[in-house]
Amino acid sequence: MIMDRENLIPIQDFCSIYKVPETFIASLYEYELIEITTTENTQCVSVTQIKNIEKLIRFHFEMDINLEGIHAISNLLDKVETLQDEIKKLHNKIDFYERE
Amino acid sequence: MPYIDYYKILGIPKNATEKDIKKAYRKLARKYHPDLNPNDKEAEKKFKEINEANEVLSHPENRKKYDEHGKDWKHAEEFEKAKQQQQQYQGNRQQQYSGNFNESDFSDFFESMFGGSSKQRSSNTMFRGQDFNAELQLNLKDVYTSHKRTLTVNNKNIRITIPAGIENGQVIKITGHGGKGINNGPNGDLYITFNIVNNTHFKRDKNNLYTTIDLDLYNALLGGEVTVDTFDGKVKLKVKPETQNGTQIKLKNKGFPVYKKDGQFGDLYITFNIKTPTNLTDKEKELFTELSKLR
Repeated sequence: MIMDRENLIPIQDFCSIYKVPETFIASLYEYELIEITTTENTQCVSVTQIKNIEKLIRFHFEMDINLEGIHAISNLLDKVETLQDEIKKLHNKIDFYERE
Repeated sequence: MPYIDYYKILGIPKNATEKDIKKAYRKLARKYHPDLNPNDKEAEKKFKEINEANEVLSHPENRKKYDEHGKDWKHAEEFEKAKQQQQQYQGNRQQQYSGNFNESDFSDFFESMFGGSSKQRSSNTMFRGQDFNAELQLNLKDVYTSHKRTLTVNNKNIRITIPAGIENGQVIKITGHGGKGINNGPNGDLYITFNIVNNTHFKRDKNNLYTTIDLDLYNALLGGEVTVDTFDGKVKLKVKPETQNGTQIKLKNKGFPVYKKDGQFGDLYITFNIKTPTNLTDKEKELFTELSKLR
């Protein structure tokens, strides 16, 4: 059941669809890897987080990476993405000066 | 279509047990999975090979067929025919990694042996479709104005609007135009990376443009008017008397459009390169000498 008003999915439904234990989602929240919204006394995740949660599910259930590892990896991936953006900007900057 | 040694890909001997295969696969997947290697095409390629090797070796029926006939892959067609006469293969899949993969991610060798990916999750888990990544090369002039363009992604035509002012390397997301969702899951997204080629004489830094124009000595000394090329046409420009070499002037709003801000433009910066006359006549030399004596 998707709650139309705010595009939220109750965690219970999410876990049933993805066949993951609710404790896993709770742990992701504890590690600040996802956000949980409570509405009408129901804990939900936003649909915008699905892609990220699917990735975290793959890390844990398919690659056998524990939560501490996922936490470390997520932080490093954020850094990788920031650096990749920075490289892109620097490439554009280099291109600018190489046209001198 | 070369023979692919799946054992070599996973780094395991031919007599490896299922446990060995799983272990080797997981080890390599942790190294090359695209989730762990964002925007790394080499890792993605490597992972596809690993995934394919696992697809074959982790399933006893596939592995048997591969072991018996893999090297003699030309006979695969015969197997394919035989297979088609049988019921459609619906075997239980071993666990495999999901993510951004579809049938086209398997090699021709694999397709010939096993007739395409039989990759299905053993459960009815609902998953988002794979995200597609595409690159689009455009000239700087193309992105000066917003325009529509039709792209063909996986044999489907998608008409998109490319907003003016898009940057080189910028990625835009077209929601829902990726792969189909699994078990009624939502579709993936399409990510387009723009590769903007600048074949103009303007240099671009975000929304500002830069160019250098030659100015003759007399215009520089006495002032005058020059015609300057801007990105959207020519403009006449007044030159102040006694303009120095390297002087930079700014033409407001004559730069590049600001991304997704209709009607807003950056500025155009023009640097003057003063050209001194050459091949002076005797008369000119005489006059310049006279001038120099006045200073």
